[in-house]
Order: sequence, then C-alpha cells, then structure tokens
Amino acid sequence: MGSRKKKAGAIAAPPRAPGSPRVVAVTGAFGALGRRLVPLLEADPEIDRVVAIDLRPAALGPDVDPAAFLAAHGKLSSHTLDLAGAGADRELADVLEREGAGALIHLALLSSPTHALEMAHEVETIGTLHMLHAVAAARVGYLLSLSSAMCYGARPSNPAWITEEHALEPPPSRSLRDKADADRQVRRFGEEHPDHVVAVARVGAMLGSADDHFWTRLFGRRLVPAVLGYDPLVQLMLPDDAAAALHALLRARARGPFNVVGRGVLPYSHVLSRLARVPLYVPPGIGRSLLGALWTAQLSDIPRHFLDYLRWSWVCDGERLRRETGFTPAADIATTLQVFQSGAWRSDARDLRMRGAA
Amino acid sequence: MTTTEQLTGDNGFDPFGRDPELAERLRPRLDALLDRWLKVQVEGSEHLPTSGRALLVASHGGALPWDAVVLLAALGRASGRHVRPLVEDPVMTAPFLGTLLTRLGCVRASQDNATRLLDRDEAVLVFPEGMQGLGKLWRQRHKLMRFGRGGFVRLALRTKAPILPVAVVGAEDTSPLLFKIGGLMKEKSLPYIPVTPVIPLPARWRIKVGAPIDANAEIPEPTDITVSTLAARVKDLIQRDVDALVEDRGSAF
Repeated sequence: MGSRKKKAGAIAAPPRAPGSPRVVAVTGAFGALGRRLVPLLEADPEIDRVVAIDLRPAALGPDVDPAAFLAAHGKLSSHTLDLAGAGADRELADVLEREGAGALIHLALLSSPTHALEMAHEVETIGTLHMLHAVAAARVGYLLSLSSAMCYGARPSNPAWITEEHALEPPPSRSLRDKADADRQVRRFGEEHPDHVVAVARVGAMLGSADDHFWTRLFGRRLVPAVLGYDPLVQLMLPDDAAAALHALLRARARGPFNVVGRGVLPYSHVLSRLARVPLYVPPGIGRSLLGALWTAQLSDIPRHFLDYLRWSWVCDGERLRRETGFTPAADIATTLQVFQSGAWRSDARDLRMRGAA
Repeated sequence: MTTTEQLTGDNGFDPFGRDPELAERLRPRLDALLDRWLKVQVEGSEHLPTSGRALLVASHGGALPWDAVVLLAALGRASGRHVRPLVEDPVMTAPFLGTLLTRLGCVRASQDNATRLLDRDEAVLVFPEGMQGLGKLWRQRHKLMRFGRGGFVRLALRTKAPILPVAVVGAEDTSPLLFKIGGLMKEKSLPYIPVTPVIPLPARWRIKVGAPIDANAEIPEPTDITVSTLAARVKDLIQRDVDALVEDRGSAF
C-alpha cells in the first residue's frame, strides 16, 4: 500500500493510527454483490480480517442463523449499521478504527430503481457522505466505491465504447442522478485527499442467479419491453465476475474510475431470443409516456427513462480494468445468458424482492 | 487508444454491431442490386489493401445513403474485406434504418469510433461532406461540397492510416433529392424532410479508387492550415475523378 505522511497539527483531535491493509471492511456486505465478495476476501491469504457492515444481520445466504454463520467464518466480524442514519459517520468511523481497517469497499447502495425516492436519496447521497467522513476520520488508506455504468447515460451521441473519461450525464431520473452524485463525491474526495487511494467501480448490467437485481428481474419476465426500430448492443455480466473484479481492484490498490463490464456484446434482440423472451415492442415516444404513467401509478418498477437504455448504446470499455489489474470476466455474455437461463435464479428471487441494497 | 480485440466475446459478435449472418443472408440481394440494377463498375480496386488499416475517403450524394451500402458491398467484394462506412447521425439514429446499417457494418460517424476501428486495422470509409453531401439537390449533383475542416486528415495522421480517395458517381441519380421540406422538425433530429423516390432508381454507378496518400509524409508538421490544405487537395482529386467518371459514363440511365 501507498505510504502516508502524517499531517501534524492539521486536525485538533489526537492523531490516530492508520488502519492495517490486512483488514478490509465492506459496507452492504450481505447484499447480492457483497455476499459474493466476502468469501473471496475470506479466502485471500493477504487479508487477516473481513469487517462486514450492513443493515441486515450477518448471513451470506437466506435462512442462515447469524450466530452459527459467524462462528463458521473465523475471519469475519459483523456490525449492524444504517449508514444513512443520523450520526452514522461517527459510528462507522468508530467501527473502522476499532477494527483497524485499512481498506473499505462501499457497496451499501441501491441495485434497483425504487419508488421510495427519499430513502434512495438518503442511502446514495447521505450514506456516501457519511462513509467518506468515516474513511477520513479513521484514516482508511484504500477506498473502493460502487457506482453504475448507467450513470454515463444512454444517448445517440455516445461513442461505441465508453471509456472512464466520458462525462457522467445520467438521464433526469432521481435514482440515477443520486448514483452519479455519489460517484462524483467519491472522486472529489480522492482528489482532495491524495493520501487516500480512491477508486470507483462503474458496474454494468449484471444478470445472475437468485438476486434482486434490476436486470435479473427484467429478464425474468416472459414479456420484456423493447423499443420499436432500435436494437442496441448490450453487455451483461455475472455478479460473481463483478465481485471478482472488485477483489482484483482491491488487490491492485487501483486508483480512479473503472468500468466493470461483461465480456462481449450482443444485440438486445439476440439476448431476448436466446432467453426465449417475448419482446413487447413499443414506439419510443409512446413507450416513455406509458412507462412514465405506470411508474407514477406505482404499477411498474421500470422508470420512464429506462427505455433510453434499450434504445441507445451505452456499451463501456473495460480495458482499463484489464490493463491495471489483469482481470477479465470468466464468463462472456453467451455463458452469462446460459447461467441465467439454467434457472438457478428462480429459487429464492421472490423473497428477496423487497430488499433493495446491492 | 486501446485495442478492442479482447472486447469481442467468445460468441464472436462484432464490437460495433455488424451481424455476419445477416450480411451473408443479404449478400445475393446486394449482389443483384449492384450488378443487375445499378450496374456498378469499380476502377482502381488494386489500390485497396487486402489487410491493415486504411482510410477510404469518398464523395457523398443522394437523398438516402445508398452510397454507404453500395460502397460497403462493392469495395468489400473487390478487396475481400469488411469495409466499415462511417455514417452521419440523422441516418444512424433513424429507427430501423440505423439498426439495419449497423448490422451491415456501418458505424456512427465520430472521431472516437473511427480511431478505434483504424486501431483494429479495419478499412474505414468516411464521407467528409457529411450531411451536406446528402443535402445536395439534384441540380447540384456531382459537385463536391466542403470537406469539413479536415478531420479525416487528422485521423489519418493520428492512426498512420493511408488515405484512399474514392470517387463515386451514381448516388445522386439513384436517389435524387428533389425538394427539401425544412423547418418542420427539430433541428437536432432531422434538418429537413427529403422528397425522393424510396425505391433506388436504376442509375449506372461508377466507382474509382485512387492511389493511397500518406498524410504523415505529405505534412510532417501538421498545422490547421496544412491539414485543411491537404483535405482540399484530396477533395480536388476526387472531384477530378468524379468529373472524368461522369464524362465516361454518359447517360445516367
């Protein structure tokens, strides 16, 4: 890890010892991504302790008793904490300091758009703010924060392959704007605190098993919306590969924004036909109004602007991740679709439906 | 700029959306269109490199972008490789048409996309006249419009790709722009509504590929002035070839 110089007298509080790089904290540790990442961290010989921080009690799967679970995971310690709550910054800083965490992976963000806009704003924006305060206070040397490739926005002027330098211009949708804002907050923190190494993982569309992920739900239906006359290329990746990518970024202590996207592309129509889904073609204008009305009436969980993502390309270039960490996803898009199609996702998708966090 | 080789999945789908199966299925029809309907003749195909990057710079015309399709098929056939035409926005963003052109191998025109394609050693075809080329009225046919500010020269300099001038005659005759209905649509989406036959008219096409130009050798120290001068020279070269082809062809039909 990078060396850090003590700034004497910069803060009134007595100087705190920086955390150990061998202790890694994860917020949102029991969400869909966290459940996959934690075992990777536990198996990493360079990591002595994994500090799980989540709203939910400790468990890497449903129907698991937290106490028995923790007993079976020697490296793991668990803290129940609501990052959006008042005073959460200090609580989190205390946890990080007590555990001596030298790295934090921030996954406590929403994986799907929600009608609870206020809650979403609190989680994305305020939760991130609290997390950054805690990282600074506890002198956590490495921070990796989750973001979404959807933050780039889907529009006709996008290059065929979006690189990390591309501006984040999400559509005027509250949930994506909050996500882009969290992304910006984290990057600004990195610029203003050069003694912290800060990275952002802009994860593309994930399609996996047994998860309450937006795309999994979308492709789980028989009838799937499509935009009449348009057929953009899409990327899809398994959540396991996304988790492995996060692990690779942590190991490399990579700095800056990274696109974390699946390997290979397919036209949207090919994805639907490979999954034997029936496309429901809607003209772009009418489709937007219709989706908007359904969303407002809370009859649909697909926001109005989502149709842009089925109309224009927002394919991202994952080359930077490969170059700086050596990581490439194990499954390409064809394999990802096969895994999804094998039906493993159905088993407990329903009872996870109401949970939102990644 | 990075290479995009590793971006292609194991399923082999082209990272810019070309669908080889569809292209193969449409091939007999495209061949019939070229040979029987448009009677396309290609000169100078020996200048087309069979491998490695190349920047084909062509004249542009016709209300509908038939020239992109004809050049893609004709030059593809002559060189045995997939030519990637860069097509301007109102065409590529049009419903159905944009998708079809993408599947055939066309890519939305932008410096970023062009650079990526050339770095993959593809043969890229650009129309520097852009929308102005498509907006030529019937009476302005065979007269090249301004070649932008020489963006294609900068592209060639940056990627070290040879420039091949391509003169095309027939596009304006196949899809003559009779009138432009303007002011109806938002400026960004469509500048005008073209009044033109939807079916391509059976005009006779002539295509001439000129000798390659090495931009880096022509202007070792590029400035805005030398870049646009070279662009103008390439334009004059193509204009001369167009005039000669028109003369040689005689009647359009």
